[in-house]
Amino acid sequence: MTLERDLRALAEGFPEAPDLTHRVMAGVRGASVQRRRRRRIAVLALALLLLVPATALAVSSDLRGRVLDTFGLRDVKITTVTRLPEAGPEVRPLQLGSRISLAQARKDLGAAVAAPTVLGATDGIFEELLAPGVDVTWSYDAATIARRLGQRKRVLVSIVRGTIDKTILGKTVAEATKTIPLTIDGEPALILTGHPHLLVLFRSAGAVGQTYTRFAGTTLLWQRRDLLIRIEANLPRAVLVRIARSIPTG
Amino acid sequence: MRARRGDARAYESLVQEHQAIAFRTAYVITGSAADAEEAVQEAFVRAWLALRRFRQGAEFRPWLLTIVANEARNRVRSRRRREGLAERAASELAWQAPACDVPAPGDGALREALAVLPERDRSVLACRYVLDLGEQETAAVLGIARGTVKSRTARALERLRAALEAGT
Repeated sequence: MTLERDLRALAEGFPEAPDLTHRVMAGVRGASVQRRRRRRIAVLALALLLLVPATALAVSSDLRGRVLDTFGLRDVKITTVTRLPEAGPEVRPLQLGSRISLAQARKDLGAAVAAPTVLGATDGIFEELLAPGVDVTWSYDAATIARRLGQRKRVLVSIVRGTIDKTILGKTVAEATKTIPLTIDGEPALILTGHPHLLVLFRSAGAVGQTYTRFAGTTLLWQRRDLLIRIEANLPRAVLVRIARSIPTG
Repeated sequence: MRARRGDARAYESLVQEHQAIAFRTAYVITGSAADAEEAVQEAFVRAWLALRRFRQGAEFRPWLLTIVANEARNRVRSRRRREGLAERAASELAWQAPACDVPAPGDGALREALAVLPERDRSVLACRYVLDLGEQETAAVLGIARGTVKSRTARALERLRAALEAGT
């Protein structure tokens, strides 16, 4: 152990450690100030990045309209308002139109459509005749969905075929409604969620007097070639997309 | 640990507690008191900024000494670049038995024997005996496994003994 002891003794020749506390703490304070400054700048930059488009959208309803137009849903017109109108007599409870057969739905839509395979057989198929097209809805009761998806939610799967751009279906969303654009199989889609919105079906080329209006919850809109697929259900986004993709359209 | 939550006063206590071993570690690596001071100062500031990444429940000293050792090595590298000292180029850890500042009380034969050892032997002996670091701390400072510290120390002692015998 003599060798180890001799090695330890070498430390006695080291210069005495100076007290560096004040210098270190001055450096620490300086570094903290710099770090706070850098953070503030980063937060400010991020806020500016978010604020500029948000402010532009907030102050200009026209710009908002144009932004929503760029979502590219041919058959949907989306209008953003500060506050939704009160539900008056023109806002009606859910009316899906006349009950029809699958064959009739296929004939009116001009496509070999069927119920979404994810959901299976429907509780009923209904049709609303619109001046420029038709709106066919596969309706599923909450009990049916509970059996098939394990969640007790009512689901409406609608397919619209129209001929006049953006005058078939209108959505009036308040600022509390989130409008999330997405792409499904390369085609534009939109999810409206977070707050009920007004659904307007134009019965005659946008004539307001003959619209069918009701409140709707979470909705997925998917412009799949000539057909506009609409799924109304308070289900997670991924489930809505899965249902939409499972609809055979011929 | 209060310092981890940004308590500067708590960190000041840690600085006071660990600055001596931090300085000795830096001195072993740089071989210069001035460089060691600067390395320690910078290392403590870096450690403060990195405290949030420090794993709660872990030992503070080995973690700090790793930062000190890295900072000291950086100083040695930049000094080498600055001064172009060819004789230092071979050694990553530049510790020479303290011939530079204060004459060592031990015999000159030991320092001569140390000087002929490979650099990694000198480093491990310096950490284990001169700095009196444990195996875990030595492993942290040198960036090697704990088991390697044990085997390398044993081999370095053997070589040192052999060098001393050859010198007598």
